[in-house]
Amino acid sequence: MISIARRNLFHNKLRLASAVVGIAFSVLLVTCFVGLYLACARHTSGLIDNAGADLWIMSPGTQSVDLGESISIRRLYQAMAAPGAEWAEPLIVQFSRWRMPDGRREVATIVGLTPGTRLNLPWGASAGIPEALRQPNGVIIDERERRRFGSASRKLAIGDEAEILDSRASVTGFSEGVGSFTTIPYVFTSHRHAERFTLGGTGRTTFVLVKCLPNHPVEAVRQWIEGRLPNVDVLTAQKFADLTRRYWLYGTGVGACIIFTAVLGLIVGFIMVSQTIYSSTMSKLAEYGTLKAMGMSNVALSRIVFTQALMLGLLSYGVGIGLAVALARFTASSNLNIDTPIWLIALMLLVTLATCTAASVTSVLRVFRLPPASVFRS
Amino acid sequence: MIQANPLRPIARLRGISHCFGRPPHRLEVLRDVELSIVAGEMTLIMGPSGSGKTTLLSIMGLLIRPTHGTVELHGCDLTEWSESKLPAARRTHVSFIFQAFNLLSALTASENVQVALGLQGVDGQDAARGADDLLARVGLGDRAGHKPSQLSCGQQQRVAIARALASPAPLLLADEPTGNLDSSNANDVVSLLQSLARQEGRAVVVVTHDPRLEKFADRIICLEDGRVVTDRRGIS
Repeated sequence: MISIARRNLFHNKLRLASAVVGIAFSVLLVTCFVGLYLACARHTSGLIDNAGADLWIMSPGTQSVDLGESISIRRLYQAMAAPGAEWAEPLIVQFSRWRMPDGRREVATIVGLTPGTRLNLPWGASAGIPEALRQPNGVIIDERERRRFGSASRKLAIGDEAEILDSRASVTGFSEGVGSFTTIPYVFTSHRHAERFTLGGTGRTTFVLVKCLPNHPVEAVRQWIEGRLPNVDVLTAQKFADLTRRYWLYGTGVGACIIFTAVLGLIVGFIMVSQTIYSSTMSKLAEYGTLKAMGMSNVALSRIVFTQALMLGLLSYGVGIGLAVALARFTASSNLNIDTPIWLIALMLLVTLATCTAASVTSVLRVFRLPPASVFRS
Repeated sequence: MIQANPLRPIARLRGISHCFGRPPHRLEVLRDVELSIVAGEMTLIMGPSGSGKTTLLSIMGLLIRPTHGTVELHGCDLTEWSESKLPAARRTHVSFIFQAFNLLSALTASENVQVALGLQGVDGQDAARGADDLLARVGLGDRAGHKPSQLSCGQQQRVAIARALASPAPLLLADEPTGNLDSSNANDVVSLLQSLARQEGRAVVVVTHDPRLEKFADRIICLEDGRVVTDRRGIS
């Protein structure tokens, strides 16, 4: 049979265009905010997720990887003695002050690693990172920060010098795609240099990271270390990542704010679809009455309304998700990241279609209740 | 071609009364109407506004249930049929023509007819060919691809007639079919309806205020205050 739904939908192109713009904007809004949330979650625990260690030893009460306090380096040697520990490494993570040659100052998070580290840090790194860490005063900063940390006239380049907490630093490498939730960049350096670049002091570190042997249960090693090392918390990487994400996303209210905005976008989209379908149904009510008088069943009529809503949803989804993916690609090299994994794209399709179906229920009920004799009143 | 016995009633209404609203605002629009509509005749139902013409048409077309009385179509009492069965009964027994044409504005003339054919189970190429044939019969073979907004009122009403013809229903009910037409188009449309009754054997019932239509009618029924006051043969 002729697709009445399709014809009705495309009959008034201006109305269709305005409806598609409205719903597509909602799809864009919800996708971007969920994507933003995912990117924030990824950034908050990026150091933990990428380091590749099984256990993190830290000062008691640490709530986030960015907010650890220093502990004695002796914890490293004690942890290495744990049965089931394959290796252990110290890691400094501390905020510090970066001063550029022209006198401007920026805050940076110093990440101190053992040269030749077995940790996967910095992740997504450019070639030559191990050598860069061994060079005198060498620091590695992310590509995307070259303009912000460069001088007014040019971007930061290899060999450029800066002052970190009154100590000389030399840029020896650039990482790629390493971002933080706070947009304060991670500056990777050797553990020895990091002691100078931060206020933690010598003989101290922020974390001790432990890798367990393949056949040893991580939890058993964690309990062993926790039972023997005084004044430290010992968390699995998963738990510490969760704690960090919870702190930044919910402790600060940022996550709740993003989720609230996404929900708001969903509500706006629902109202848009609902209004569009309802006004379209009302404008065609006499026609639906005619079809009813001609013997079309309520089920067939509601199929027309639902199909129209789903087609509108699909069309708007295509536009909205296309814009969202384009925006995500456009912002990929900036500090504002939007993650659009394939599952989110698929989920948004389901959400859009479900929203359109739910939003057309009022219209379907209106058609259901339409008395066929109303056709003589027009 | 409808194969109907001209003497056999297509529709029989017995003791039909109908009220709208509830006491104390109850309005009785039809009172004890007895009527038989036979095949091959064009029947006019006339009367002043509010006399119950359209309500009678709605009851005959299974669009509303009478408060009292029974409606028989082809000898079958449909008064107590459930709501879910009535659409199928309408598809089988009745077709409609409306004063405002009520074509689907997003569809072409051909597609409007194809929708009606689709309800009869005719689809695809068969429906397209059937629609073209029906439009040719009402003289609109060259307007099949036009949308209602691209057609004159007379042409739109002829599309509506072609759509009604898509149903093999023996009872064709028309509500003021010439109400929006000039006299030339009105004559064409009524002649067409008359030929459907005479040549195809359909029972055509036309509700109208227009006295010019009397000359085409085989039978003229006048309603007043919900009662049949005259039921006479036409002059055609």
